[in-house]
Amino acid sequence: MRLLKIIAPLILVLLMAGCWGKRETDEIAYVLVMGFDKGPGHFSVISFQIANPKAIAGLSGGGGGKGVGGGDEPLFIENIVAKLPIGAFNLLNVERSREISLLHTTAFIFSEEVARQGVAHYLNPLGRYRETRGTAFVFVCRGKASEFMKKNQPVLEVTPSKQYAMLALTNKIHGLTQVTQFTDFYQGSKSVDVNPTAPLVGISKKEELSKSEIPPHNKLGDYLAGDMPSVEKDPQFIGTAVFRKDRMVGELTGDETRYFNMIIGKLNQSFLIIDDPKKKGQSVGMTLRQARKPEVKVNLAGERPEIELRIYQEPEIAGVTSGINYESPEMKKVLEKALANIIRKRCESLITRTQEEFRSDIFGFGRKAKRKFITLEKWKKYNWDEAFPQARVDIIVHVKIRRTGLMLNTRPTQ
Amino acid sequence: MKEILKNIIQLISYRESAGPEDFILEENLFDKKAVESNQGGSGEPPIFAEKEGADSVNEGRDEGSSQSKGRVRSRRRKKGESSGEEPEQQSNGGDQVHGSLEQNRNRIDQIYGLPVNKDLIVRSFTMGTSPPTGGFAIFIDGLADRTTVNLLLQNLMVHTRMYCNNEGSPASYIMKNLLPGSQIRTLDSFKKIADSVNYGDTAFFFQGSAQAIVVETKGWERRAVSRPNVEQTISGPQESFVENLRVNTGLVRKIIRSEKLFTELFQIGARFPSDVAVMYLKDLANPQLVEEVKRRISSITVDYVNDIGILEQFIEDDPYSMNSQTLSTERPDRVAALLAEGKVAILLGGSPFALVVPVTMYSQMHTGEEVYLRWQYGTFLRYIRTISFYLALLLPGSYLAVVLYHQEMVPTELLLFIAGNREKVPFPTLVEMLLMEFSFELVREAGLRIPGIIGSTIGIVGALILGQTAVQANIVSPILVILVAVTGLASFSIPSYSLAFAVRIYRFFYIIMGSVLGFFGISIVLYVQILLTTNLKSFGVPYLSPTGPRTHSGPDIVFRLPIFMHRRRPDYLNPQDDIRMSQNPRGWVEEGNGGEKQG
Repeated sequence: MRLLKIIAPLILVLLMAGCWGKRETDEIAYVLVMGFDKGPGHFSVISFQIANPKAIAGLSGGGGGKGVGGGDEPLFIENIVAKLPIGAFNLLNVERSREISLLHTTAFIFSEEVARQGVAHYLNPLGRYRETRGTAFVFVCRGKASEFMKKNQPVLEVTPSKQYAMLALTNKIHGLTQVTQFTDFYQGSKSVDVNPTAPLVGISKKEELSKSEIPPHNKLGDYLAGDMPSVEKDPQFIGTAVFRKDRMVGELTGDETRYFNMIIGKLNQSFLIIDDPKKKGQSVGMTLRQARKPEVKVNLAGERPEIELRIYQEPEIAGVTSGINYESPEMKKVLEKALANIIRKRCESLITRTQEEFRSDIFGFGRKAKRKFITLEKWKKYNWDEAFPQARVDIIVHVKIRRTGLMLNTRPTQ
Repeated sequence: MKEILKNIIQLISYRESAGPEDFILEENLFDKKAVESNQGGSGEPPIFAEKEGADSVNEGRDEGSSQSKGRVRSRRRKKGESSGEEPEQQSNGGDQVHGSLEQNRNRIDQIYGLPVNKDLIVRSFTMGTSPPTGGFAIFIDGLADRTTVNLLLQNLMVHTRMYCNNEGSPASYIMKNLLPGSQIRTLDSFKKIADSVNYGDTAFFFQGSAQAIVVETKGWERRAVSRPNVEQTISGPQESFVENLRVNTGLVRKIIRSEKLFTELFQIGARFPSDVAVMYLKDLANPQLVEEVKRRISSITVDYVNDIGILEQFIEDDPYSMNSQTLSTERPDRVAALLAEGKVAILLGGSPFALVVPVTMYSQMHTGEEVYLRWQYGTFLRYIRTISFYLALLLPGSYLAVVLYHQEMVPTELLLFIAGNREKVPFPTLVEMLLMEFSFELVREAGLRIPGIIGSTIGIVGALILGQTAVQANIVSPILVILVAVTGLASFSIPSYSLAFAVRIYRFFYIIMGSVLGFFGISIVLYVQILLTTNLKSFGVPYLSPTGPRTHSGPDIVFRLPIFMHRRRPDYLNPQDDIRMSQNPRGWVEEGNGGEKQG
C-alpha cells in the first residue's frame, strides 16, 4: 500500500510530462509540397500536394497493381483560398478527412508574382509553426505555383520529396541552380548581412527545337527556368531568384548562377565551355572544381567599402576541339590565364548587376563586413544595404589545371 | 411474477449438490495423523517446524487485523512445534544396528515399510563358512547395478567355502577378505545405511555383527555424455554435462588437471538430500568468495532441491531483479575457463547444468567460443551479439515511438510506405505490435512444448500462417512482421537463456512506454533499467563491472584483443593471482617490442 502511494504519483508525474501527441499514421494527411499563388484581393491561393500512402505502398486498386484502371493517384493537389497558410489547414479539413501534417513538407514554392510582392507574411507563420521542417526547400516558380505542382510529375521518383532531395545532389554536378533551405531563407529575409536567394523553377513551353532561341555556346545554361527549349512540357530547375529582404527583385540565369555559386563557395563541379585562346572559332571544354573556399576581405576604412575576393579553381580539361596540345606545361599556362580572365569578367558583371540592378548583397559579403564592428547597433547604423551598391570589388582568380582527363596530350585529328 | 423471479434467482444462485461426493481431500487428515503417530512414537516428525520468528513476521504483516486472531494462530503453531521434537529422540534410539539378524531385518522392514514398498530388495543368504553364517543384503531395484550385486553375492555364498573364520569381528573380516567392492564401508547407523542404500549402494547384514557393510553398487540407467543442446558452438569441445554429479565433476577435472582444483560436497534437502559440489581453484579463487558460496549453500534449509535452477533461486542476491545473477552453463570447458578466472562453480546431482558465480552482464553475452576463435572473428561475433541485444530490447519500442510521435525522423518515402501499408489495418499500431509480439512468443513457446514428431511443422506454421496470412488479411502491416521477426532473431542470439528472458520481458515495457510517451518514455525505461542493473550485485561483484564501476579488466568485454594481450584476470574478482601470462607470452617473438609485430 505504501509502495503504491509512492509509485502512483511517480507514474502520474511521468505521464504528465509526456506530450500526448500520439497520432497514428492513418490519421494524418502528409503534405509534401506547399505552393503559394496570388489569389483574389489580398487573399492567396495555397496549394497542397498531398501524398496518398495507399497508392504509394501499392495497396490501391483492390489487389491489382498500380496504374491499373481505378487505381488511386499517389499524389493529389488541393487548392485553398486563404490569407495565411495555417488558416488554410482548417479550411482544407472541410474537404479532406485527415489532419494536415507539415512534418514531411519538403518544399515551399512561391510564385514569382507572390515573391515580388513579398513573402514575409507567409514565412512568419510557417517559421512559427511547430511542424515546419527547417530543412525544407524554398523555390520561386516562374508562372503559377499550383500549375507547376500539377505539371511536375517526376518520372524517376515516387514522390516529389525525393525529387527535390535529388536536386540538391544533381546541383553538385552542374551548379546551374542552387539550394535554399527554409531556415536559411527565413533568416536571410530578416538579416542585415545577407539577402536571400531561391532557386527558380518553371515549366518549359512546348516548342520546336529547331526554331528555339539559344544563347551563345560559351554561355552554357544561360537560361531562366522554363525558357530552356524542350519538346515536352517539362519541369526545369535552373537559375536563381534574387531577393531584397523578403521581396524578389530579379532573376539570375543558369550561367550567372554558376558564378554566384562560385563566389559563395558552393560550386562543387560545373561544366564550362570557353573560346579557344589560340584558335578562333574553336572551343575548350572545362570541368570546374573548387580548389578551396573563396577568400573575402572587406575594408571599410575608405569612403566606400572595398572588397577583395579571391577565387581558387582547379579545372579539368574535358575537351579540346582545336587539337592544340593544351596538356603541355606551357600551353596549360595559356589556358589557365584565359579561363581566369573569363571567370573574373563574368563574376565582375554578376556583382555589378547585383549592385546596380538589384541593390542586394546576396553573396554574404556583409557577414565579413560585420566583423569590423563591435556592436550590432553600430553595424546596423552603417547600413550595409546602402553601402554595398557603392562597394568596389576586386576579384582575383587563381586557376590551376591539375588534371587533363584521361589524355596526356592532344594531337590534331588528320 | 414472483415465482418467475424466484426461479431465475434459483437458476443463477449457488446450491450445494445433493448427491454424495466420491472423494474428499480432507483438510485436517494430516494433522490428525501426526498427532496419532506422535502417540505411537513411530511416525516421522515434521521436518521444519514453524518457528517463533516466522510467526512474528506473520503477525507483523496483518497488523490491521484483530489482535486475538494473531494470538490464536501463534498458539496453534506452538502445539505443532512441541510435537515435532519428541519423536526425533525416539527414532535415534532405534538407529543402532543390532547383533541379531532378526532385529535388523525387522528394523529394515519398519524403515522401508517392506511388504508395501516394493522397491527395496532383501536377499537372505547363508554363507558357507563353518559354522554357516546367516545374512541378508538390501539394495534398491533399479538403482543398484545388478551384475555387481550378483558378483558380491556369489563371492559370499560360493567362494566363502574355502575360508574359515573364527577371529575378529565378522564384518571387518568379510570386508577385508570376502567382498571385492572398490568402495566399501562399515556402518552401524540405520539412518546412514538407508541414505547409502537410497543412493544405489548395497548393504550387507550378518548374523552376530553389529555393523553393516555397505558396498558401492551405484548403477542406474544414465545418459551418456553428449553434445551440448542449449549452448551449441562450432569450435571448441563438444561435450556437455549430464545428470550425474560425479561424471560432471570429472568432466571439469579432466580439463583442469590440477590438485588445486577443489571439489567440496554438500548435502542439501532435509527430506531427500541432493549432493551439491562446489568447485574452485584453491590457489586462485578469492577465499572470501568461496566462503560466501559455501555459507549460502550450507545455510539452505529446504525439504529438497530438484534442479540447479531452484538452487540458483535460493542463493542469488536479489530475487526481485529481472536479471539472473548466476551463469548457468552446460559446457565443462566454459566452467573450466571461468574457474581459471577465479570464479566458483556449483554443480548439483541430477542437473546437467552448472552455475558459475559471480557473473557480470558481459559474461552473459559471451559464449566462450569467441576466445577459441581468432580475435578478429571473436570481436565481430560479439559486436553482432551486442547490436542484437539492443535490437531485441529497443527495436519494437523505437518503431512505435517513431511512427506515433516522431514521424519527421523517418525518410518521407519510408514513412509513406509504412503509412500506406497501415491504411487497411484496422488496429492501432500498439495493438498490432502486441498482437504480433504475442504471436511470436506463442510460436516460440509452442515450438518448445510441441511433441517432437510434429515439432518441425511449427516453424512453417509460425512463418507462413502468422506472417504471410496476417499481412494478406490486413491484420498487421508487413513492415511490422519484418520488425518482429528481426527482434525475435535478435533475442535468440543472446547466449544466456536468462538474459534473453529478461530482455524479452523488458521489451514489453519499452513497447508500452514507447507508445505512451514516445522517445521520452523509452529514455525513462532505459534510465530505470540502467539504474536497476547497475544497482545489482552478484556475490559481491557489481553486475556491470568492469564498466560500471570501471575496473581494470583486460581487453575482454565486448571488444577482444589478440589472445596474448589477455594478460590479467578480471580485477573485479580479486583473484589471488591476477597475472595470467608472462610479459611476453609468445616466447618466440623477440622480447621488447610488446608483441606487436614479430621481430
